[in-house]
Amino acid sequence: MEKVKCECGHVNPFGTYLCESCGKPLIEEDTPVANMRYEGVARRSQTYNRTIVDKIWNFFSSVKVGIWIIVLLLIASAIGTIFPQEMYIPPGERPTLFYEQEYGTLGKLYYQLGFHNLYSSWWYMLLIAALGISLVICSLDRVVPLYRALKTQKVTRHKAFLERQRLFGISEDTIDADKEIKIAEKMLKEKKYTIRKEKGNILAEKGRFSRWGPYVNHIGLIIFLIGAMLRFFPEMYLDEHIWVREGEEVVIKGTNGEYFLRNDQFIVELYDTDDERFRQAFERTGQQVVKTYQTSATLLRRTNTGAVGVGTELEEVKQYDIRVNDPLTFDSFALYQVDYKLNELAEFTFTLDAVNDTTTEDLSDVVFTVNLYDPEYVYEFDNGYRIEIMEYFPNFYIDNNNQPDTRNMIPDNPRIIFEVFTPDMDPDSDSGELSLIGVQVNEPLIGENDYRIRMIDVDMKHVTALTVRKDRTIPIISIGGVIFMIGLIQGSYWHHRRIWIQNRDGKIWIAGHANKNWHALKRDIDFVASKAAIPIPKDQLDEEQNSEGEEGGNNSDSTKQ
Amino acid sequence: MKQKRLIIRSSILLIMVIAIGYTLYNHLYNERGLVDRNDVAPNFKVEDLDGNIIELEELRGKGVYLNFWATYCVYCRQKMEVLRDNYEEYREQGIEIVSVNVNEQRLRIERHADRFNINYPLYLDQHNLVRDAYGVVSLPSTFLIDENGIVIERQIGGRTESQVLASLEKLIPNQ
Amino acid sequence: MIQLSSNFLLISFFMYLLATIFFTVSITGKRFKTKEGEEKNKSGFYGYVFSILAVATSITYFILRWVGVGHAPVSNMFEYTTFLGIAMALAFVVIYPMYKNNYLGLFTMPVVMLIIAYASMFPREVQPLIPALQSYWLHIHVITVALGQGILALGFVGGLLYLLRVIDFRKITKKVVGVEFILYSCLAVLAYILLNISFSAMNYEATFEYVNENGVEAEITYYKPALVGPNEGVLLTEGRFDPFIQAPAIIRSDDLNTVLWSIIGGLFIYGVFILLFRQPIGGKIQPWLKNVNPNSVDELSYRAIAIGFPVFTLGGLIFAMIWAQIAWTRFWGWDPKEVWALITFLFYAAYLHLRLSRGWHGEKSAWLCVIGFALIMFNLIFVNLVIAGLHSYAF
Repeated sequence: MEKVKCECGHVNPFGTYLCESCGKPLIEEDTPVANMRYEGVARRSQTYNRTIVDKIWNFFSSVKVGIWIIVLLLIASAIGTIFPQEMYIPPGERPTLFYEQEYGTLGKLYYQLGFHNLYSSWWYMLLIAALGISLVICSLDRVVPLYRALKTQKVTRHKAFLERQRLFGISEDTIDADKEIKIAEKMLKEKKYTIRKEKGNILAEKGRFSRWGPYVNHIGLIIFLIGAMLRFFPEMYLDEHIWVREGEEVVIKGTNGEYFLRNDQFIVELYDTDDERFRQAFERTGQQVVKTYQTSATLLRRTNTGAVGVGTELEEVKQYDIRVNDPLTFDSFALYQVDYKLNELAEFTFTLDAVNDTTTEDLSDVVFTVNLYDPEYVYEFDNGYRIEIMEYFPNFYIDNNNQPDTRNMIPDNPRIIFEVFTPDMDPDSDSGELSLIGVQVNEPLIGENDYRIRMIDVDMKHVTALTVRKDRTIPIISIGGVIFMIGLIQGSYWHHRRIWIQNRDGKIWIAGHANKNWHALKRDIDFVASKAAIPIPKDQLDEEQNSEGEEGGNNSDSTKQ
Repeated sequence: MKQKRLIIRSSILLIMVIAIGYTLYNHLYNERGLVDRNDVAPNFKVEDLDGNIIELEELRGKGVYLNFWATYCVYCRQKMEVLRDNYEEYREQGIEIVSVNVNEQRLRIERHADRFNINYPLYLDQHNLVRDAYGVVSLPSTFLIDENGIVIERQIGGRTESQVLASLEKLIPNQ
Repeated sequence: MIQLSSNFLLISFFMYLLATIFFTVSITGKRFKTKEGEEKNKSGFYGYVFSILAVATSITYFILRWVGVGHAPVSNMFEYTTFLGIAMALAFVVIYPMYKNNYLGLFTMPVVMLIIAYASMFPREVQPLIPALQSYWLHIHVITVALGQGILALGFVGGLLYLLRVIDFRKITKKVVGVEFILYSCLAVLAYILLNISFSAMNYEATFEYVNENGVEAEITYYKPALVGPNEGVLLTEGRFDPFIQAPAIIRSDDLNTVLWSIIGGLFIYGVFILLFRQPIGGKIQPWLKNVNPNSVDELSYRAIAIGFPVFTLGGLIFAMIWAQIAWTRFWGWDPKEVWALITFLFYAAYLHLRLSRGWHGEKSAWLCVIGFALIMFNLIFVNLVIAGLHSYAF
């Protein structure tokens, strides 16, 4: 690769558009205004293209490729919202059937293409990864040469550089160019420009740091993406769910058996329907609105060390009312209120009745309570009666072999088979009467029974569901986000403006360049011209437009590359 | 100069590709459990229906067939019947079956033991501490722990009789 | 308090109208006030004064309603959409002094009015907040998003201005059709508002018995004559219009009917224009804009987007993530609304990068500004009302 030597003596890398030092165009273009992108420096990527590594590098170094990645991500993301993602379909629905049932053939296709889990698919993640690579390479390839160009720029620029700035003007005739330039300098200082001087020529510059904005925000984005990536590493991210009944102590998953939570009380509070403010809303919808979901919880911590399991001793750490939008935090964990179940069956209380009044015995003392979470085997009474639980099904159903069974251990549909022994029976050798009892179920299992077990009370409890979250990526993500915002603001709300004023053979040459916000640059120049006799530069793009305007009023072609 | 550039570019690309590759691998293929092959089996203490307590560490020198189960889990039942029929034989060869229930009602475990004539101890896992320590999500889950307390295999789901027997064979110490 | 705030909103609506009128005079006035250039400048100034007054009164509405409701009034469709309109007007008030462009006022104010009027078609009563929405982060998030979208919307106005200025309306090309479609869309919204007002003034109600998507018989009430009836619908109210066709059960037939009315209403207004002037509306507007400097509006729309983009990102992504972390346990969950905010972000990011290459200044850039605004509106209306996720405002 040959270096290009400019007539000012500066040696430029191959591929340079505008000499890094004096700004003379080294590669001619047929537009009246020079392309000032990246100061006309050679982007390194374009200049070497030998090995496969260079080819890959150059591919990702292109902004065009970057934009394509953004557009592809955009389209892919949009596709993911056509039908709900798998995690948002109603709970209990089978995705294999749901999409077809709900959305027909299109839904089936959507499912078959894997779009129901689009955002965690390998190709979507690869797209995001490609964006990350593009961010790194694009930024590296541009920031270094740009930094060098801005650092080495000379005050006195080449004539051709000035002529081909968008804002450019030459004075008709000036009395004392040096004097006017001095005044202009003073005015520019007033506008907080940094001035550099050389042989009576000046370069006024303002807001150069905004040029680094894009690179700062790209760094922020890269940090953000690294944070997002770390989520997939072990120990970084925890997403667990615990259900806790009122009064129950449950280990908090993911804490290695160290922390426990007790649900002291769970409440659902509704808005007062008499509230005058919301009267209209209640009338229109006819529905009550929930005001608060709250779990009053006690956090406990294990005090003994050694093997997990039996013999765990706990101490209370703190009490907290966990609400939606107000999680309980401890160590690096947070517990969020996410779901609940009201009125889960907890206890049944029974008594015993004689069916045909054949006995004269007093059965009023035969009252017993069965804890559905942990029933006793046997209930014995002073009058000699004895009731055994023969079988217990917390969540009863009949299985494929026509056998009674339970689905799980949660007492959603409890059935109990009781065996009743009268005082004159021997529980070891005799068999008592069997009855099957559940909610709204009470039937003898074999023939007719003399005794009937009657439910006299039911106790229920609320259950709260909490998400256990640990996310060690959050600090990284936050730092990334903050840096990103700083860079974005830096690049968007400040603008790099430069004004070159030169005394060429007694005439004042002026040229201006702005990176965004030409409007403000023009105003600055107008401000200077209000005191100093400098020429007001013309906007060469406007002139271009006007000349085209006469031809047909459509300027889009002229700006095409 | 050119050499340097190539090295810099290659290493930047390599770092990014490795990081992305590892992330994707973790996300898509890694089904490693919390406790898996070659890990030291976490120690625990559990109590059986009669109140006898065992600690895993005390079983050093024996092969341990650690099985998590529930009464409502059909595949667990099949497995437990195989274990029942072969329990005595393998116990003599230095194998202990530690059958940990997932915190069900005592009554149900008791009745289950009666109905299926289970001849080995059934342990209770209050608060599911042991289950969580082993990262068990589906049942049955079995961990084969060798005489040195190292997990040699993690099995999820049902197994045929011959598979269970093969697993037990593997556990026989000092082969 | 809430009644008072509504009055302020009404007053501000008329202020916006006055501002529009003054801006119109500032541009067209030249013709009937020849040689009085000074006079012309004045009306631009009055237009700006009324825009400021309008923004001040609408912010008063916002504060009063906040006090009355007890939370920032951005938590249902009416409140949010109204605030979006206010934010757009506010962005205009801030940007106008920089460019002193009366054309911008002429186009922004009617769009603001249209948005606020559209907002008031939603139920306006005060609604209690469900627990997930009870977070000041939510309010910070939503307010910032609206401000960002308001500024971005000015980019749309600049883009539209550019297109109306430079496109050749003498022959019907794709571009002309595109611009006419934008104008037609505004008219369709206008038609929707007018139809809603007129039918509710007439107390039009027609109840149907129909079979819903679960195959169960149900009743539905239409507030506009039914062009499309519900699935197997039978008209119960006497003397009401019997529909031509019936919608399939999975579609909300009354909403479809409303959309149909708006489309037809918009077509009607548009048709009247065409019959009157015998040329595209854009062609009719173009002569007024001959003094617009295309480069200057191009830059204006670019700046609006460069200013609005960080605000939108801060509100729509960063604050949104903070809120989501607290309320939904994770900062990002691929909820449709989140995804569409991301899409908007990506779109404007692509726009800003495209501005770096030369071919994307001017007209192409103007089209992108229009598409960006369409995305914002899509996100507001379609995603909220049709796709709806965690953010479902329309309850």
